[in-house]
Amino acid sequence: MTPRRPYALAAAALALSAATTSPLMAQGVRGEISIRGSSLELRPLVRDSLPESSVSGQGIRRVLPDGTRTTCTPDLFCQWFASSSPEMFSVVTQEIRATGWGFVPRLSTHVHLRGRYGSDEFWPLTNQEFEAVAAYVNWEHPTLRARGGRITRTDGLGYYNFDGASVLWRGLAPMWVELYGGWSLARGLNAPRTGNLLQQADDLPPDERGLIFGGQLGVKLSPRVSGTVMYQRQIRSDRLALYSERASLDLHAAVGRASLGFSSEYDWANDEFNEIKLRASTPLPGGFDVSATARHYSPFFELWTIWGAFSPTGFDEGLLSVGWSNTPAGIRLEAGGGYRDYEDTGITASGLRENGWRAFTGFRWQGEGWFANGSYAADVGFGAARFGGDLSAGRTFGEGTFLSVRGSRTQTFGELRFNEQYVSGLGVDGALTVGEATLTAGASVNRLDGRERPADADWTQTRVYAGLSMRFGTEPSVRHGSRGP
Amino acid sequence: MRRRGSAAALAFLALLAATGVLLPLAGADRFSHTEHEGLFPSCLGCHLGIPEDAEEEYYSVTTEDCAACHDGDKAELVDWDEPLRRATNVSFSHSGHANDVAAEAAADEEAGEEAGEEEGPLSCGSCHQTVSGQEFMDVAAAEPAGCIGCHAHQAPEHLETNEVCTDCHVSLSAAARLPAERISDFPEPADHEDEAFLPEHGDGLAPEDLADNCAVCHARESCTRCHLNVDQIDAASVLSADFRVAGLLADSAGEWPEPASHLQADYEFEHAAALDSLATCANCHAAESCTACHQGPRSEFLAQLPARSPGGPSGIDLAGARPPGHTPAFVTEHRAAASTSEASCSTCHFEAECADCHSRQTADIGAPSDSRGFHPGNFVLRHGAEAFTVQSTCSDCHSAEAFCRDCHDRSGLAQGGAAGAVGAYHDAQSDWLIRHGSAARLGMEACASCHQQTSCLRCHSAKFGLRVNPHGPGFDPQRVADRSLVSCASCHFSTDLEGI
Repeated sequence: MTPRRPYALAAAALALSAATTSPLMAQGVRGEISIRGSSLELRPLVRDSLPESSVSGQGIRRVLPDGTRTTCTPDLFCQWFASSSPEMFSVVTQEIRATGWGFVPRLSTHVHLRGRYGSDEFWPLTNQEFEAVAAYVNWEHPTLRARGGRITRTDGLGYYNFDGASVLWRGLAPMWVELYGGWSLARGLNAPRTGNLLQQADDLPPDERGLIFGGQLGVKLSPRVSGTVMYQRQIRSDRLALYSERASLDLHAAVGRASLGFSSEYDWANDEFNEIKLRASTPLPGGFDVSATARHYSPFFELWTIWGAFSPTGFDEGLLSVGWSNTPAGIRLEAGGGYRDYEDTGITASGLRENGWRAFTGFRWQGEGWFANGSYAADVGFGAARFGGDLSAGRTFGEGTFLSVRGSRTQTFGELRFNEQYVSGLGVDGALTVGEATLTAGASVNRLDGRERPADADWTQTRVYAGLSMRFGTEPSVRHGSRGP
Repeated sequence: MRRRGSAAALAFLALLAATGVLLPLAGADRFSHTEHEGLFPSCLGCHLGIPEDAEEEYYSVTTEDCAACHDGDKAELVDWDEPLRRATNVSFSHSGHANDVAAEAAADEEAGEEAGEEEGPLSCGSCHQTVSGQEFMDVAAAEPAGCIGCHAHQAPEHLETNEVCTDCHVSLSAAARLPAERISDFPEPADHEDEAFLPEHGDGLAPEDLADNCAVCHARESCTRCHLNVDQIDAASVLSADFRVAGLLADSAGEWPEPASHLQADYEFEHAAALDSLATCANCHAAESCTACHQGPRSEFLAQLPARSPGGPSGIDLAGARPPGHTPAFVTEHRAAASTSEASCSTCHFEAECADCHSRQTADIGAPSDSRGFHPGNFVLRHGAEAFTVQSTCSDCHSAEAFCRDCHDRSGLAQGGAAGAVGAYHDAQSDWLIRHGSAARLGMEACASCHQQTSCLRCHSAKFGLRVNPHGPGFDPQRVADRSLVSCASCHFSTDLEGI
């Protein structure tokens, strides 16, 4: 798709949406329009150095008097990385989400468009000034649902979108079947793989658009037991190769008040389960609830990259968490932990961790007009670790209106380097809701205290954000309130 | 028995009346009956209206009458005035009581029974003369003992469940002079404190029950405090609105105990089966209870439930209520539920809501997760550990190439970094190149968030360079080649790719 195509698609969708929402009986539109802006200060790393002869010590690795670790090249320099002067940049995002219905019975249109502007290209994707997340026509019948346009999907393979059509048939109750196909989009980009985003970001970008075809079979044995199995294939448009071939199986059951979930993703090309997860949760007497998770994870890469050929490995993990809620008092407490075992990479004597663990605890309290949240987590694994917590407290002034302060402090370790550092932050956040409009704003100051870095370096950074969103229109028979904070 | 019960109640009321109605609450000088012994031949000289229940003549004597003696010469001056009468909801009537006693005596006489001493015509002293008093004017407010002397009180205690309140009391609407403070001090019957009372208090409640009992203490506002459907409750129609009760309940939230049926394990899934009794649901639920979970047109059900009205009861507030399994962790653990329930999610959620987390990416950078972001505040500066531990998969929402790598480049962490900073991430690790293999296999996504594919091909291509084989022990080249020879061609000299 050329860059003009999204505009054309969006224009067509808007036109259709407008056409279906002219003020006739039983027509309507419901949506939200928003504008949000963020201003961030970041401090890029810069290389600094001293002549090797001026740094005391021997060998390649030496330490300056202030603790800065350096890498020395004999007879040349000892170098390290320090913070440069702050770079401030801004990102403004405009979005419109709307659903219109009523021109033709059972027909509705859905659009989700996004415009983006960045003061420079520091923050990712700000050079993508317009994107259509979704823009499709939906025809709904008790036994059949058909969609066409830019369609978003949420299924066993995650959340993604594509340009094409899908047909869902419910005529085999309690089973349903869905088939879909069209032009695929790069995940997370709302743009084709051959769009400028990937072309600019990668030295070996895909050179052909992708086609996507898939099918899903679902069954709902009862309100408490359901499952789906799906298969999906993404093909280069020149049909020379696949971009991916994947399948998923998901099951969900409610036994009493307990909830059981099983999900899995399988990569046909690498004969690898990217995800196998079994999770059970149940409330217990006395306001307690418990959940247990067993998980296998291995990363998935599309076949246009070479990453999958490097035989990436994953891990097996077990998690257990316990919660306690006292609804009248508005209190929620949680604690849990887990253990992770990394798969053998086939490379001996790596010196890396072979297992990991995590522990966490947290609380939420919502009283008469006041609230407070806090959490602490320790996460130790291959590559990095962190220990830290967040605390926030504030006052509410009706639904969707609040003022709060927050603070956080986290100690992070980088096993593969960027060393140990403390990240601290203080911020204030607020929201004001008047009718269907909500104004949000906040600011924070963040500080990095890194060991093995120059002691006099200033790593302080600021963040400011503000947003205004407004819902409009009504549901055909239901008018519901905001689900905001 | 019934008549005896009534008589007992009347006697009890007489006691209350004597202490409540006639007892002066305020005044300057109080009149002492005993000090005036022998001066007055009859009670009616001063209380002319009592036999006729003529309230204005309860005190037929005046200050001037007192001054006939208390003129300062014959007797000292007094400052006496008619005492204030205490408002009451007791339904005692002197004349009625007297008539009842007389009628009972006549009936007994007609039946040939001799009237007992205690059943003879009553004098004022029958109830008001003190127990120890020997003189005519040794009187006081009626005591319970005086009542029970004639009436065998059947109720073991006041507020007994099976008693009929209106035997002794009038309804609130009839006790118009009763101040709100007195109403708020009404004692609560013991059965009202029972846990089962609230959920069951309407079971079999007929309008006459409400009028005979509930109406003595309650007004319509007592119902509308909780019941959204009070207009549809027949029994509630006998209660009238009362501004005193309205004031007392103004700041009192409704109470909606959860019925036993709601606690059954599968209630959330099976409650649709109870929809033929929506009238019962409406006792506690407004239409908004349904729309808290069920979005979309379900007007045939919603129309049967009352809507919330300004100033009216809210009913059960289910806003934010969650189905089973929707614990706070569900926000990141909802995949199985979401992908298997073609219709269930949409009963509560719009599909576009998925994009709030899955496709936002740049909005509200720095905002905490409860301000419509997904990640906690400060996340940009501390996301490294979470990226490695993959509690949630970054690539589900972000492109490693176009999102992560872009920022890592510009911040100087990655190989293609800003001027003066190249690959700062692996600094001070002079042997990193030698030992990176295991880290790469364990954290390939992290590698891809900084490195170009061409960075690896310098050494791992079969076409040039060091030609280091990157494939692990489980790699199946034929399986990959069957699906993408183009991928193989990135590192290997390709065969004829046409016609595949």
